[in-house]
Amino acid sequence: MTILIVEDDEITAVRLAEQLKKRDYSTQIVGDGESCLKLIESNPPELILLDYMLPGISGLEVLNKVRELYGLVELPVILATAKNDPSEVVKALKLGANDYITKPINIEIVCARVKTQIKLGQYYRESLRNNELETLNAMIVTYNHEINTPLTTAMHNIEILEESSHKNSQHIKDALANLNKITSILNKIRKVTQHPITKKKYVGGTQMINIDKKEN
Amino acid sequence: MSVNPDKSSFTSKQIQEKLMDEFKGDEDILDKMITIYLQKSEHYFTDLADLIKEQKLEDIKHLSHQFKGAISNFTIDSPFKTLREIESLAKAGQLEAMTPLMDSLKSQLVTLDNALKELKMQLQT
Repeated sequence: MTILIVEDDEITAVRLAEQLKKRDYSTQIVGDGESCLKLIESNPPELILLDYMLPGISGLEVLNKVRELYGLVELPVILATAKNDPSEVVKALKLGANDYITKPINIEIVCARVKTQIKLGQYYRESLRNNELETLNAMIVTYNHEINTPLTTAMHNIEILEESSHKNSQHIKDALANLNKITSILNKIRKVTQHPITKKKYVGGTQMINIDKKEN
Repeated sequence: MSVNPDKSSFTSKQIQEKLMDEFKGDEDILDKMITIYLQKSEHYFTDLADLIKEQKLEDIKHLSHQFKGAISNFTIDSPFKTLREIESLAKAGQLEAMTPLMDSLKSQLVTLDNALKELKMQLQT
């Protein structure tokens, strides 16, 4: 879990990095906004601790650019501001900062706020996954219901034909084999959400769900 | 710095006690921070004095803010307050009022530097 510290004062940066490290976070320091923006394009961290007043691009400009690339939950930003300037906080929150800390730093407050943002991100991702699973389950139930009924009818009719004069017809045998195959695929699809879902490549860069997973 | 320490607002002992309390369990980090601060504080001060001479308001504003941030890790007493005033003056474009503040800052920094040097020795023993 990497926290990117964007801070031009070395003492504050080292303090934040070392104290967060001791509390089981991994940290990375950059001293200006340009380096921050360059880094997050290729290797986004879990959270950014961003100083308001930076040399070159200001903290607010950095925040603005971060929000062009990442949403509030995708990449939380906590802004560090001076205690005596509430207008800085308002501007930052309006531009998409998730939270703020004030200087002088209180490391317990920093940790509590970092933890909250990271947990919110985890809950969000978990909830997205749960929604995905619910949708998938609903789709499977729908497919089963919608396909099973005509499939049963088709199989029943084939069975009648089999018993009739067309008993040895190759066409009937082929049709039955294919209908059995569809039944088997439907059974596999019904069990998809009982195990972690894996996907495999399909045509044109699309993906399909791997239904041939072995049951544990 | 060859200036008498400022004794009006805080003592070395007060700073040391506050920091030892604040960094309980993180003494190694405090030691590292003091090392960096002692290497940088004089440069911060001389650079700020030069910028005032050169009347570079925007740079004064930025450097005094940065210096203030560095000091806030150790104390929010007199040198922090003085730098905050210098930053406000820079924002207001009032260069002339900065010179007496720089004199006060010099002696306040001596007190802080001495307190941190003593604390560093304590941390290493």
